[in-house]
Amino acid sequence: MHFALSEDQRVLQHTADEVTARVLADSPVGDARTDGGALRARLWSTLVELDLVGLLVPEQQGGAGGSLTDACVVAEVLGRHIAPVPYVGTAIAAAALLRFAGGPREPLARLCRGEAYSVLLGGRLQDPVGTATVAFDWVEGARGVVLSPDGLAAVHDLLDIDPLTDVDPLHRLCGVRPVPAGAASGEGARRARAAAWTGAAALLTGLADGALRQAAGYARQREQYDRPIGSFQAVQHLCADMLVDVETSRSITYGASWAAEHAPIDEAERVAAAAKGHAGAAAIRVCENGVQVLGGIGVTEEHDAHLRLRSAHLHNAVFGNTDAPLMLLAGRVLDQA
Amino acid sequence: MDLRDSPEEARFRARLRAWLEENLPSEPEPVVLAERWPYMREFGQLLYRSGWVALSYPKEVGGQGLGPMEEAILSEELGRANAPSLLPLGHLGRPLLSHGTEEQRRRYLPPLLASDEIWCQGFSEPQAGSDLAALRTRAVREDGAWVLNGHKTWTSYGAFADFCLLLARTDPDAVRHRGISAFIVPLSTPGVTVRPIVLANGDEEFAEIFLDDVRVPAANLLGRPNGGWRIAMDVVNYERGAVETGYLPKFERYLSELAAVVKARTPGPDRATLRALGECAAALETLRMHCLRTLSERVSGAPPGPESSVDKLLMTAVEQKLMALGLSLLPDVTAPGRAEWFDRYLYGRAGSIYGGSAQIQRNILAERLLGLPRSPG
Repeated sequence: MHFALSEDQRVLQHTADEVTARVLADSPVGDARTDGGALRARLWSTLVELDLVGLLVPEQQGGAGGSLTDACVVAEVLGRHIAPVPYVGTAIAAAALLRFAGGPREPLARLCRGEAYSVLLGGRLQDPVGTATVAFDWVEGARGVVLSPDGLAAVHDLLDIDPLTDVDPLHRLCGVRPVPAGAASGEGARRARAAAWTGAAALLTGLADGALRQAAGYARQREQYDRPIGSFQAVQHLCADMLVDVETSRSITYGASWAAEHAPIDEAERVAAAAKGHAGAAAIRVCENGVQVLGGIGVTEEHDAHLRLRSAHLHNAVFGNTDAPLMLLAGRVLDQA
Repeated sequence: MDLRDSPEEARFRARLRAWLEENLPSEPEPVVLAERWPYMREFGQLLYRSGWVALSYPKEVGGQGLGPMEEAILSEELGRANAPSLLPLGHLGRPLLSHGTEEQRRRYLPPLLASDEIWCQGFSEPQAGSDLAALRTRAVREDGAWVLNGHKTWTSYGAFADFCLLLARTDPDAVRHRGISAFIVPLSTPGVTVRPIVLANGDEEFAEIFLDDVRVPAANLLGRPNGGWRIAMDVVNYERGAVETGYLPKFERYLSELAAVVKARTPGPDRATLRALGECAAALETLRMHCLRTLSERVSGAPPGPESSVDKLLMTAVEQKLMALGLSLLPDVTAPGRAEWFDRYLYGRAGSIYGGSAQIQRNILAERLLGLPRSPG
């Protein structure tokens, strides 16, 4: 057993961080709300060029042949930057369905070339059973990926598209004409769900880490009563709690990134469920505390703290909130008692 | 990342699992410490004689010469087997190993690791709790011996111990933590009085230790004179991990007990109960993964640093979450097990106080890891 990122994964982390920072240096993430998708498209094409979108796609299908851990490394970096790209919905959730749950093969090759695929969910952003009605991480022209009732992944052209205004303006949702959807019962579909939970957990971990860095940096600089506010224990303890949430989210998420891909399916699901359950609640707490440390500026429209908090809420909500993973865990514990 | 067992680890796990199946005590773990103590000690001795504890200590001091990952496997398998709790004193061998002389290691480590001689930690004093560097117990050099005078308190398992790793001030003129040394004090030495402190749950787990002109040989100094602070910090960093203290398997046992309570109460638990159970399971899984990560970082041999405060805060949070669920599941005043869970709950309140209070852990994280400016005096 060894729990640590490899040297290659550290390089990947560094690369993803550098290119994201470079693109966002020209236009801050908030621009994505009003630029008609220009920033999203620019960053996405950069990620596609670097093969970071096709990490979950096997090499023989044109992808990078990476691991779920690799994809989580990228998702965490993107979360830290609040990058306005559909990484979790497309590069992780949709790709995992297409890879693990059978179905057509050719969409995977298209996905890693940068074509838009959104994962389809229910109205409360839960894994859909019966019909799927909402495209998560939707972009113009996207096709929808869903687990069909026959247990295989299916791709649909999306009709009656009705873009939704929801809490997070950086990751879009779109109402679509209902398509049939089935519950994840086969092993492949369950593994895809575990991957989606884990990918969301990785992005949430990144969002939280960004909030922590921002808050700690501000607390070191900002002075009140003639000293930095970071020297007050009330502020220190808020930041320390944020650090515990971030580091523990990182531990369970990277553990899940390995387990969801490689462990026997029951264990894969268990660890991934814990990751989604823990990281979702943790990221919301951390982003709220981040706003608190920033004070007045943290609740303004011009500062990006609210975008981070918005994004944390959305990524906590997708794939069944904390509810679905916690129910799965409770069921497991009861089965064994 | 590779959380699979290596072939050696898999063989180790299989042997351990088979051994546990054969050798677990048939009696359940007693609730009251006075009965639990001999039970835990006996199991600790059996584990040691069979080669299953002190795994990551070198062979020449009585360990198994294995690595941190075997410690993780031990934790997992003890949890899976619902094994008795370990004596939570494994961390006290660490300072002897890293700071002891050849002779001290040979003399003290094997019986400590074997649970044949019990050690305790004489750090806190009535006037020095969170502010440990304010300790006042004095040690004065006299005719080739050290003479100790002072008063220690909150000493875990003090009433059961044979030896105390004790901090005392050796340079009264030095600045606070610079004038402190660490000593090995046999509690049978004349002048030592140990008085148990009864905890809120009735256990006599803590003790006070009074030292009146206690003479220990010069050879009982551990490490350099006035070098005790570093030793103390090493000890507390190890103490803050859930594997070193054996708490991980204990918490897993608690969770399965709670699940059994839920199951016995109703065939269809309500959603709030399921959520709470799921939250405990998620927290425990998070602790397990966090421990694996911490131990992997230790494979290189580096001792834990200030990041161990994350481990400690997580461990405390998990324990208190389990206890809260325990209480919520046993509202019926006639229910069996209610009093026992309440005692565990009371004990769980100590988790955020001992080994450095939760507030001290947060200070450490804020200043040492986040680089926030020191808070004024």
